[in-house]
Amino acid sequence: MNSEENIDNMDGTLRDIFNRTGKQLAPEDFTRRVMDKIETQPALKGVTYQPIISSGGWIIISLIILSLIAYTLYLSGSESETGYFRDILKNFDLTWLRSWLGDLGSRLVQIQLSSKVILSLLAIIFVGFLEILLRQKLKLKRWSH
Amino acid sequence: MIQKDDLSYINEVLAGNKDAFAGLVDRYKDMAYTLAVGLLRDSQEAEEATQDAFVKAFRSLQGYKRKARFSTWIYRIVYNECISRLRKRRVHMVSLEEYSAAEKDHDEMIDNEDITDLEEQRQRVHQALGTLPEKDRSIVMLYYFEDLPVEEIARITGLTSSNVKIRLFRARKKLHSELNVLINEYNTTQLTPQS
Repeated sequence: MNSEENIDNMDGTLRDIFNRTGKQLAPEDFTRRVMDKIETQPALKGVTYQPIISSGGWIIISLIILSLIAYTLYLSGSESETGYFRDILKNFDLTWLRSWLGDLGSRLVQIQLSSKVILSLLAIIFVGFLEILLRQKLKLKRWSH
Repeated sequence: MIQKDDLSYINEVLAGNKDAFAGLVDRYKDMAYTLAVGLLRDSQEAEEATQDAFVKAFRSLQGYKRKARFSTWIYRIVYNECISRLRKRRVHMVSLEEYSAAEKDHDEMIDNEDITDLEEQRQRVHQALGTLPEKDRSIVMLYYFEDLPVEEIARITGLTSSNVKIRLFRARKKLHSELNVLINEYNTTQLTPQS
């Protein structure tokens, strides 16, 4: 019999003996006594998880972003920056982004992704980061259920 | 009947329902008390320590991070409470030699008797555990009574997993020799064919 088998046997025997003799049982009125002590303690104020942006809010944001993307892709010409968006976009020079992204940028250009789509994606990322930052600042943690 | 899980009780307590804490006490009181008796070797003090540990757990329930199991968290509180009481005991100059002598007398008294019933076997196991150092004792109890994996025991005791394994190995050998009579009796009953 090798030493590993020896240890296993030893372990099995001890486990059986411990199981047979059992745990010590706490006195019968133990729970009541603990609860009596707890009664003298102030009630805990629960930290209930409240998301900064509710699920409904997220749905609305997603719908806005999706409609913006849909508008960009299907309703407006890929090169026509008209009306309100033109006014916004003329303040943004996104060529730096394209060069910074290198290959990825050129691919984006190849698929003729308009500035509005890029802005929409940036907006999604921005909102995500904002929630993370606010959550950390307020020290709120998502409760696992 | 479906048992509520620990998190349901915790959420209720945090929502202001103190009574929900009784569910957690009921669930973990026996192992917590076993651990305390094993460490403190005094049922009266063990009961006090376990009660205090549960009250502390209630007070700091908001700080309980749900990454670890609740059982691990509560046993760690019980363990720390017992270790702190043992330290105070030493500061108050309670003679360990006296304590050991009393235990030895008790052991000898038991040695002279036949192990006839479960209570005596329990005492024998309790005494064998008493021969182990405190940390080893708690490791053995958590391992054999609660079937906890080495990693969880390490979290409770604040030791590394490899240290727990080493201590467990040492303790197992020591217990085996301490419980020799009981083990022989156990092996005999295992080998005897059932009629």
